[in-house]
Amino acid sequence: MDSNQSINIEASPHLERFARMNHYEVLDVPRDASVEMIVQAYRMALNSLEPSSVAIYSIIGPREAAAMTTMIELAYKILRDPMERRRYDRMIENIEKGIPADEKGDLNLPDDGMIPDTLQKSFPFFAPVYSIEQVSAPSNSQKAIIEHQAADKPSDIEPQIQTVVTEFPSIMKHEVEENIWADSGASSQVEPVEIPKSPDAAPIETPREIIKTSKTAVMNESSTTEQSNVKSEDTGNAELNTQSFPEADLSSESGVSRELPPLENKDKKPAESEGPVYSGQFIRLIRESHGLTLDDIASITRITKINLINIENENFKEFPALVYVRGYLMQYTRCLKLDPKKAASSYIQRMQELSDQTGEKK
Amino acid sequence: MSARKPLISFGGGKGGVGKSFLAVNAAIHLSSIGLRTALIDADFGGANLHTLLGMELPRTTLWDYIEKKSELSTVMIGTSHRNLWLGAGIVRDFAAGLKQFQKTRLIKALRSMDFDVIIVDLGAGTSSHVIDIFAASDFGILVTLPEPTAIENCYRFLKTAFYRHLRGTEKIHDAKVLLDSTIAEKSSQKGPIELIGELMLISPEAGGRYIEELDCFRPAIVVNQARTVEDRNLTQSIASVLKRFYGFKSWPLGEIAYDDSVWLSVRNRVPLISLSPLPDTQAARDTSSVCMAIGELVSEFRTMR
Repeated sequence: MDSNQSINIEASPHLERFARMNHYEVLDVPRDASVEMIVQAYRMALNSLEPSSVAIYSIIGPREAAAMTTMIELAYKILRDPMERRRYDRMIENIEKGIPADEKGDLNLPDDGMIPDTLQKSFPFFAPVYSIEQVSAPSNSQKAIIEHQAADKPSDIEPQIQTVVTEFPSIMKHEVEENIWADSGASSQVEPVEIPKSPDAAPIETPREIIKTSKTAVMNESSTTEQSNVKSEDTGNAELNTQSFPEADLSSESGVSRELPPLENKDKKPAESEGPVYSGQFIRLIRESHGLTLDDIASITRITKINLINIENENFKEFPALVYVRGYLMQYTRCLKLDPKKAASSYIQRMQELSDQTGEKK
Repeated sequence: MSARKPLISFGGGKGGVGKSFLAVNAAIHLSSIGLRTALIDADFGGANLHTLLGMELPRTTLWDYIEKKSELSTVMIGTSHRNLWLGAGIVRDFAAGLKQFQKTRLIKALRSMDFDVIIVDLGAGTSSHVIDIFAASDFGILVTLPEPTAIENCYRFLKTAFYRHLRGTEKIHDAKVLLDSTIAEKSSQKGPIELIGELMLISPEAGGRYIEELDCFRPAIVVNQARTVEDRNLTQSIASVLKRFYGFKSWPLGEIAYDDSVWLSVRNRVPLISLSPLPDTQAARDTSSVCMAIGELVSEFRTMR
C-alpha cells in the first residue's frame, strides 16, 4: 500500500459521518446500553473492521478502517468506564440542550488554566500539560502542583519529572535536539497525571477497580493477558489512564484476538505501521468525538488557539520551528488520549512528505 | 383478516453461491411446517430448481405464464413434497430478461397467488428483473460467500436493490427525476446515507420519506461455504458493516459450513433438509438452522398486522 496515502475526509463520507457521531452512535448502541451490550458491540465493531476482515471489502480501505478502529476504541474506553461515561452523558445532554461550551461546568476552567481538583481526580486526562512558555517560567501554583505530584509518586519516577521540568529551558537555548522531546514523550506515561490522593474524595474508582468492573463484563478467554495487565497496574497506578491509545490494553482486556501493532520501535516510523495517519483532519475528528472545542483544548493545554487551528488545518507555512510543533502536537494529542509520541511523529512525517511534494520545505 | 403472505426472494450478486440450494431447502422446510408454499424459479438464464428437487423436465413452466398468458397459478406443478408447488423455470433457449410490462405483471401475479408463502429464486447478477423482484419482496435473502468477490457483489447488489426500492416507492414525477439523477451522479462514490443526506438538502420532505424507507429495507444475509473460524461470524460482521456504512438493518441468518454433504445432496438430487435422518455434518446442521431462522421470520410476518 502507498504509505503516503492519508485519510482524506472529503473523499471519505463514511469518516466524515463518523466524526459527527457521539460515542454511543460510534459503537451503535442505545444511550442506556448495558455494559454487556457495549462490550459486545465493541467486539463486533472491531471484528468487522479488522484489517483481515473480508466484510469491509470494497466498502472502506485499511486506512479508513484503522481510523475508525481508533474512534471505536476511544468510544469504548469512555463508555465502559462508569465514571467517564457519566461525565460524557452529562456533556452530551448539555450539548443537546444547547448549553454553550463555557457553561458546561466540567470544562469551565478557571482563568489560571489550572484544572479544578475534582475534575482532575475524575478525569485524569485533563491533567495539566505544560506549554513551553509555562515551563520556562512556571508560576507558583504550577510549581506547587509539580512538587505535590513529585512527592506523591514512587521515587523512581521522580527524576523523570525533574528531567521534564529542567530540560525545557535548555531546548529554548539550543534550539534543536529533537530527541529530548521524544524523551519527554516517553516519560508522558508518568507525567503529571497522578490522581492526587485526598481522604475526603468521593468514592472514586481506582484504576484497579475500573479494571475489575470491566473484567466482569468481559468474557475473557485468555486469562493470562488479563493477569499481566493487572500486574502492570500494580507497578504504576496511573498507567491505565495514560496508556497510549490503540495499543495492547484494550484488545487484550476484551479478549478480542486481533493482531496487535508491533510495539513501537524507536527506529521505525509509526506511519509505516498499521495505525492511522494522524493528519490534522484526523486529530480534529478525535477532538470532536470527545466533544471538545478548540477553546477547551486551548485552555487545557495553553496552546494558543491559532496554533491549534493551524495544526488541524495543516497550515504548515504558519508553523513555528519544528521543535515547537512537536511539543504542541504532543500536548494536544495527549489531552485527546492519543499516543502523543506516535501522533506527533506521524503528523510531522506527513507534514514533511507533503512539503517535499509541494517544494515548500522549510 | 387472513394472514399476510410473505414474498421471499433469494438473490445475490454472484453465481454459484448457493441461492438455488438454499431456496429449495427453505421451501421444503416451510412446507414441512404446514405452510402451503410456492417455489418460483425465476432464474431465467439457468433454471434448475426442478433438478434440485429430483424432478423430471416439467410439462408446464413459467414460459406458459409469460408468453402464453396462462394464469400463474395454473403453471404451478405439484412436487413430491406435501404443501410444495413449483413454478418451474424456463428450460428452453431463451434470451434472459423480461420486458417491463412482463416484470410488473409477474410481481403482481406472485402477490395474488393463493399460497401461504411464496419463494422466488432469482438468477445471479443485477439484471433489472432480479433487482426489481428482490426490491419488491417482503424478505430479500442474500446469499454470499466468504470471498472478496462475492462480498463486493453483495454490497453492490444491495445498494442497487435499495435504490430501486426507493424509486418504486416514489410516486411524484419530479422527485423521481431528482432521485434518478442523484443516484446516477453520486451513487458510485456515496452510500445510501450520504445520498439521502444530499436529497434532504434539495427536498426535505422526500428525504424524510427516504429515511423511513431506509429503515424498512431489511435484507437477510446468509454466508455459504464458511471454512475458517473467522467465517463463522461473518454474517454478523456483514450486518454490522451494512448498518454502519449503508444504514441498512439486516437479519444475519447465519453461516453454512463448507463440506461435502451439500454437494452430495445436489449430486444425488435430494434436497439436504429432506434427508431423514439429517446427515451428521456441520453443513447439514447449519442449513437446517438457517431454514428455521427463515421459518421464524415467516411466522412472525404472518402474525403481524
